[in-house]
Amino acid sequence: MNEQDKKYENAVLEIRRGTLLICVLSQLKSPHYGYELIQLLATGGIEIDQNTLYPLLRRLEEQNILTSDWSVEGSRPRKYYSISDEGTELLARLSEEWNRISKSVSEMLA
Amino acid sequence: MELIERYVYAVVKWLPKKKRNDIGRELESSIYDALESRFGEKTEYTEEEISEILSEMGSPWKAAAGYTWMSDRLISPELLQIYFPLTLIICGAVTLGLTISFLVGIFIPGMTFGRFILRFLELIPSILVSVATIVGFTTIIFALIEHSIPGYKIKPQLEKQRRQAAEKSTWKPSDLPAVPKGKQKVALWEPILGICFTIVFVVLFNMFPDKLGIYYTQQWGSGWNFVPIFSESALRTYLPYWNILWGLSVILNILLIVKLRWTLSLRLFDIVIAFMQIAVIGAMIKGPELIDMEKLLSYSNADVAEALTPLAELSNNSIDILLIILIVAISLGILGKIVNIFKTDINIRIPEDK
Repeated sequence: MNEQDKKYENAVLEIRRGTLLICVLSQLKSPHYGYELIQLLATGGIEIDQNTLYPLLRRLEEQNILTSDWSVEGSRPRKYYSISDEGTELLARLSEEWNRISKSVSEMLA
Repeated sequence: MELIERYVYAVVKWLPKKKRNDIGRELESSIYDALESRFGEKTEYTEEEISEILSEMGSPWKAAAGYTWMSDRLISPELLQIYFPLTLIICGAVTLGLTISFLVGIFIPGMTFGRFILRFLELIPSILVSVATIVGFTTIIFALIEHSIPGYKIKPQLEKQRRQAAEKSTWKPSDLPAVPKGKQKVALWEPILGICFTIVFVVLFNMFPDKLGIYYTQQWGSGWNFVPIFSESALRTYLPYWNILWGLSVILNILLIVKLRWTLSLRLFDIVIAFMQIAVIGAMIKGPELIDMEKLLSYSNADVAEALTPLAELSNNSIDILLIILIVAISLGILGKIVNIFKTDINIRIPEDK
């Protein structure tokens, strides 16, 4: 990887980090466990590492943006996360802001 | 399957205690999810399959690094592992030292009950002030290390990426240490207490050998008389060996603080120290008498003789018998340690070799 690629990678990382919260919240309107969520996001074109997702879920849970529940569906207990009322409100405001930014950026790039 | 347990343990041991259980369960469940999605639903996965998944997840350090926001404090979890034991050791040793100097201070001529209470009341604030000073200084020093030495700043993503790159080629799941079981676990206070007491012994015997002895009074408030108990020449002969043993035991305890578990090599080290203790005690039985009875009794005047009666009854032989009992006790201890090795260390090794 040359210097140019490194700068690019870092910039991409920055953009992704900002959008990750919106992606995660949008997928948790119905409860999912961590591994399922990784695959769900991957299907939607967002690759996320386990080591990034799990701590993020936990932090959002501590901030009352997500709620969680251990439940046994299938063979083993799994921790299911879903969005809380506070999280739903946050997501609504964030998606509004996202649409605004996205529109502005598109216009600037045009 | 044991590999998963080892991996989970290696991750959660970096995390705050309260969260360990929940994070560990979730991590374990997600490892099984990954195994299931790649190799299908099975009751048992092979070591190779598990290794493949764990290698992709990266080193336990990397997995734990995501949770550092949980302990975003003045001192990071890595440094806390040194900060806590060190602070406790210094506080413990100073508290013990002040208490001993208080006890020695009681035995001065003209000590009355009132003065005794007064001294006791002085002791408490002086311990509190010392402890507060020590905690303050160590905290400031560690916080300075944390925030001024770049290698210790854990937060930045850059640092994480650098480590990831460095670890990709080196970390293997088979490197994971075994999870400490039963008697392998060491509670932090055990080695700390050991070090505190050793420091006190070292200081007492090396710096105040002339203060070790029998203090007695005929009448409370009339002052104290003192008779040194250990023979000077014996102390001079044995002290270097005792110091070596104490030094080794401090090293052992420091290693225990670092690892917080008994490993096979630490147990062997412990056994070596025990054998050395037996050797030194053996030399003490053969060598000059630790307590010079004749000299001790030569102090006697009417009242001293009374105080020394119980001691005078002990002949030199009976001190040797005490030392022999000590050797037997240490030998039994060694046996116990060997049994522990077979019970825990060896047992754990067998399934790994399969």
